[in-house]
Amino acid sequence: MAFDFAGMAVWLIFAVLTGAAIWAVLRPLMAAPKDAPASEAEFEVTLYRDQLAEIDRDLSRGTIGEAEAESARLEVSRRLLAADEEARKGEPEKATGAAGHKWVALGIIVLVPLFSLGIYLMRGAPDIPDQPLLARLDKPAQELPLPGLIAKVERHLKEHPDDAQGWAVLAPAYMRIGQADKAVAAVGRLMAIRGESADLYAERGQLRVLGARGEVTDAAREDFRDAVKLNPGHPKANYYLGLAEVEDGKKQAAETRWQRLVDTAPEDAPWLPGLKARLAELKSGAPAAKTPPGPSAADVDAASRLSPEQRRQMIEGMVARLASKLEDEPGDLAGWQRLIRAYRVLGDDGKADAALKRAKTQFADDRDALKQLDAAARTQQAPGAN
Amino acid sequence: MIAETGHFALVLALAVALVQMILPAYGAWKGDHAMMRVGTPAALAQLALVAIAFLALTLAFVVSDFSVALVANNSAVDKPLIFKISGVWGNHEGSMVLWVLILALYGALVALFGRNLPDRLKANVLAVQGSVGVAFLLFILATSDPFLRLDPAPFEGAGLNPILQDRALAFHPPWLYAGYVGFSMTFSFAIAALMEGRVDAAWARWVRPWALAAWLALTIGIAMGSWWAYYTLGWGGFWFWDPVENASLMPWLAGTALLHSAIVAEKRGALKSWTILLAILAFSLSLVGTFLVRSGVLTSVHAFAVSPARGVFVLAILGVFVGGSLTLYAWRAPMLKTGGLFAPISREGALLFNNLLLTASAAAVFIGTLYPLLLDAVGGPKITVGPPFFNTTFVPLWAPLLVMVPFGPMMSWKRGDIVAAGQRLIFAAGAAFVVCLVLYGVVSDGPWLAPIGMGVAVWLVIGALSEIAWRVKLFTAPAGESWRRARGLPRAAWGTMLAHGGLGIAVAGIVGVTAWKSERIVALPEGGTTSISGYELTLEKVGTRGGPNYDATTGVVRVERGGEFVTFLLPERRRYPTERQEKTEPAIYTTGFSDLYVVLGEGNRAGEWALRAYVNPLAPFIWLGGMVMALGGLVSLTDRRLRVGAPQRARTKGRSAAAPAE
Repeated sequence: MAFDFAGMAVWLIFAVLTGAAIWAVLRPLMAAPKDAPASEAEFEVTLYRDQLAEIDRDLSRGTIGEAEAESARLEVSRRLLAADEEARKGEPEKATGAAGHKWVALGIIVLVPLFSLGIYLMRGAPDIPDQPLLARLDKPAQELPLPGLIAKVERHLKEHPDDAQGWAVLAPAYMRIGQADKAVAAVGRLMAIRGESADLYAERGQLRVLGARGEVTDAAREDFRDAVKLNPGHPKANYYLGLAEVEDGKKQAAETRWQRLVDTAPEDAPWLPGLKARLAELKSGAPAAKTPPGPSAADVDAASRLSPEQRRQMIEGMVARLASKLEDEPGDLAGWQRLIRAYRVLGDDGKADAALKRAKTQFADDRDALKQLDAAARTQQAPGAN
Repeated sequence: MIAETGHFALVLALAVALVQMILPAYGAWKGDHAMMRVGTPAALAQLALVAIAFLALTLAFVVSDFSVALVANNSAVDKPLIFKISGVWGNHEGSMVLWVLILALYGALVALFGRNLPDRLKANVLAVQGSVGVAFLLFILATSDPFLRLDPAPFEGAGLNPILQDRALAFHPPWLYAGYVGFSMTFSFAIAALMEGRVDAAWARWVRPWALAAWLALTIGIAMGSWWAYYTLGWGGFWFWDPVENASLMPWLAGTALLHSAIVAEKRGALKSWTILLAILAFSLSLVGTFLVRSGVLTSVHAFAVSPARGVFVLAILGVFVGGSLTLYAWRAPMLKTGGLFAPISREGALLFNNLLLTASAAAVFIGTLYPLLLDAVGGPKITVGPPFFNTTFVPLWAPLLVMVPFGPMMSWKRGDIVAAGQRLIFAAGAAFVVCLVLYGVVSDGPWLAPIGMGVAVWLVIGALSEIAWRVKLFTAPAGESWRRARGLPRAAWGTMLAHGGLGIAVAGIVGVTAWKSERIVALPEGGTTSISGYELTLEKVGTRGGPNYDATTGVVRVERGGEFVTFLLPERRRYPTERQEKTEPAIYTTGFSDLYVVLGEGNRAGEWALRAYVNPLAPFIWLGGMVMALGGLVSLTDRRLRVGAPQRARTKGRSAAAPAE
């Protein structure tokens, strides 16, 4: 690798650039002595002559009166005489040649490359090749990491937006890299191609729940309801609708719903043990009463797809992104509410309070906003979040 | 390879800038002409190297090379090509490279076209220009390196702030920078003059075109920025006294003053020291502008850079250049020869009056912008200085200025006659008075000052035309004579007319929008109708459509006037998934005399959509005026009198003999 073409070429280019720059700068120093150049006074003489001519032009156009023109002429002529005199008696400027500049030239030849290379090597990365995206995607799929795969499929879908298989692959992939809203949109596209189905509605609802860090949002509920309309016994949709009912405090309804689900479930359904456990919790009342249901219930489900560590990383990544986005755009009220809620759910009260304080100064004179912020701050910590 | 070449070229440019800073200045000091001449190739080499770096960076953006961290953080694959390119300067690092590129371009222009400059002056000018380059290249490489790499590279970038994905804003920064950096040129001339301790006539002649070029670019930049704010920010305002806007206004005010005082310095050899001070101030304010936007001390829609280390660095640059140059000025200015005398009532006097008002208004903006920051910095309370402050300081300073504008060109040099000038302006005054009276009679709403404002606008436009009419003896001489005279008028006279008339047009627009804007906010279901200022708006449908890198909710608004169909307007709300941001895209229907401006808001559960509509009378005049002003600058710039002849010993004799004959 040490002597590949591109690696060599970089240094060659650097050398050529440096050489050309030094050559350009040195030329005047190495040139043979020229005629003595015109002195400043000679430049001035030319100029004052131009000015005299201009006064005449001004006069003929009427920008200046006869008397003013006369006195201006006098003024300029006086300066012209002085400059002329200076030009005559002034010593001719000395012209220095190559001989006197040997050391300067040598200094430039040595210092410019040393300096440039020194600074460049502190920060530069000559061994990293250019990586234009299209060239990188032009590889077999199995050699690409997940984000690359996603990019490749995205490009493919740009050309063939009706390829259902592509959208079906993308949705979970987006979820894996923590882009829930894109995953939701991908399922939407899939539905537009394949037609609506209970499975897809439930799938999309679940992605929405995961994206909202476990909260069964309005949009998610809508999806689950649509799923149940198409297939009243759909397990996933019913599970989440039950969660939503727990969130709303309608425990009895949730219990009935889940019980029916357990009763009609096939014996070997992989989700059955988890559901039974949740149902037992709900019935016994104790933990479920304290549990703000959303997050922890979703934990159960999310854990089935991601390891806890992965999940935590995913959430923390999202929160950190949100926080840094708000640094740049502090005017985003909904963003602040999300951030405060997220810190609370993660159990990081210090950060939640700090965020609340910052947001409040930002919206100091907006009473509605302050109210919404306080509401967000009342969110409770998810059990087991720490 | 390309990215690294760009990186190395940028470092090499720093080395060359150091040579450009040191050798010519040393040569000028020692009287060594060979060393002085190093400035020319050094300036050209610097342009070539910075251009290589800029092209390399642009290429990285165009091909989405996400191994360059800057590209990964500020670009995305789906972005349309034009915004991939504008994304180069849509971020802090890249915009600084653009800054230095324009700086190098100006330096190279002096190197190329400066043959008629005395060696010593040219060497010093290029050396000062080189020192500015050194400071900014050092700043870039130390705190904002655009060529840092990522390995492994990500597969998708973070995208560009949707607000910046806009055609007007895409090309607003290059113009603005061309203006800011253009004042580095007059600054370099000023410092060179102070270093030599003499301001010769060539100096004054040379400063003017640079001031003009910078002013022209800055005028376009400000007009574009304000136009963008008007149609993007979605509430129909055109100027918000936002610190970032003020940052561009301050050098414009100082630059406008400089432009006018440079005329006096050039034509009559007076006000030289004052011109030097203005040149220093204009560039200092440009640097302050850069500092305000770059250091992140402001929270504003434009402030896309937040980093204290950078702030401290820019503060240091500011200290060296502003502090250093003002110190040099205090030390050397008293040694400068004073120029010709003039009476208070004369064109010189009028220009001085203009200068005083312009600098005073620049000072007002400066205080209003920086006082809150300063107070905050020393631990005082956080205050905001809003439009009321600027309206009570800026407007009273500008009112007499605007009234005086038409008088200036009517006055003679050295000693003028204000009564005669007034007589020549009698028609303009009459027209202004009539417009004012008619408006009082016709328009019942709006502030009582508004008709006077319109009167001033008419006064400016007709006044500007009157000057030309008087010069060509329109109506007092036969048409043929007038035509001959009109052709003989120097381009600068036409430029003055356009610039002053453009100002009048802009004033009319500002007064119109400020005083007579009407506004309507409603929630409409699909098919709902509302009306504003004689227009009936029907929200026919709200649908979604996909853009290249966004999805939009688009409202279809049918516009009618008196039952007649006028147009369809399509205001949008766009969602950018990559950047995870939204932006509203107002729709504007313009008649040329007023704008109908419609914004689509959010929908509610009842299926109604918030719709905001504005009618902004005369709004297009604001930017039309700005463009006419800039055109005036351009026409002036082409005046052949701005080109100074070089002394060629054999020819000077012949020319001097020919001159008086003209």
